Amino acid sequence: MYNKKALLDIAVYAIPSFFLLILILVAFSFYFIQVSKDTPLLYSPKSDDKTLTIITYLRTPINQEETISDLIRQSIDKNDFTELDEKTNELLKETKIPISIYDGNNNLIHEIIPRATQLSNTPTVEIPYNNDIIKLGYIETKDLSEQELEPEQKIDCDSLSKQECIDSKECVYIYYGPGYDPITGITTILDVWHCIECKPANCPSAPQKYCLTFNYKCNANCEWTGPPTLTQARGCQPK
Amino acid sequence: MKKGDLTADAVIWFWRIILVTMITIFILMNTAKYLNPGFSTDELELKILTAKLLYSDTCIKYKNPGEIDLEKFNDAHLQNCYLKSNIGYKLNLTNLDNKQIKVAKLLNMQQETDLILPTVSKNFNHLSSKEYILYYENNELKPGILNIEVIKDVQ
Repeated sequence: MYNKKALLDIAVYAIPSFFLLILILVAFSFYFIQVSKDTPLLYSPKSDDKTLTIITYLRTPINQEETISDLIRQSIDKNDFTELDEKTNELLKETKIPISIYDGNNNLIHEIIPRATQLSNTPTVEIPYNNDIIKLGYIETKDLSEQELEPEQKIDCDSLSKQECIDSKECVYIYYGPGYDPITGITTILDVWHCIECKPANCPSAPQKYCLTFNYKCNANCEWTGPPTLTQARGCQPK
Repeated sequence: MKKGDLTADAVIWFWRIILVTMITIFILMNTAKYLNPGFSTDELELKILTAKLLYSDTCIKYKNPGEIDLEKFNDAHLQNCYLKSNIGYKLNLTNLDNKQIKVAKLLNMQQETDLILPTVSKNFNHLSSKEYILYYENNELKPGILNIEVIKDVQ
């Protein structure tokens, strides 16, 4: 009777548990591999290529001999895009082809349809113009460079590691050694170092060893005027 | 073993088996979901068909891609262009004033019915796209819109 119970235990409980364990392992392995999650991206309509549409638009004749691309060149020569805009509105009632015109240095020359309404994945097509090229489409480069100039895009030197600070052009690494921290005013037995913004106005924070660093790395013109005392704020000072 | 013990055991085992079965089914369903993901290739097929129509010499291309030859724009020519048993399509060429220039189609009876009366049958997918093109007529290239409608039978 006891053996029968043991067999029953194995048949009904242990074997399904074993398969359950295998299934859990398989399920987790698929969860981490995530093959099925990534593959559909290959079919994403976002990767749709509209280059041919832009080229066809550029090939569109405006008279017996000239095409839209000729009209674009003429408009740039005259710096007058009125005719181009008129032709575009006439042509693109149905399929509004979003095109902006840029010079070879990605400077925006003219918007045929406002950039705000264009998709950022619009492809770019280049056409020759005198000895230069004109780019048509949507170029993000200018926007990105504008963002870099915004104050919130600046590097936070304080958050960088020692090596990141040394490698960074925008920040300068200063090592004070153990003891007094002149920036926080705290005395400690730990090594004191700071990563501060690399600009001439910050050179008074530098000890003697780093005074010259400010001059060559941050384009400053400072000199070491002797160790600071209680009455005199000497140290690294602008000339 | 007493009869009462056997009954008590059976009750315990009954709940154990149900619990194990439920968890097994749950895990199997989730695993099957990962093993058999549903890929919709309809958009991709529409893209391939559009590219074939606009780029291939065996289809309706004139000289350059994006330029359409009206001589080739007919039902018979589409037979040599893009033929797939479960896909039918209709091309409607209009000028920029939305005036119809020409129509060509490659549809079987069922697909044609599905296109005209979409509510009768649900066993198909309907996709469409619009392409800006140039067509050659009376010795000159003119701008136009190519409307592509695709009916895909779902088995």
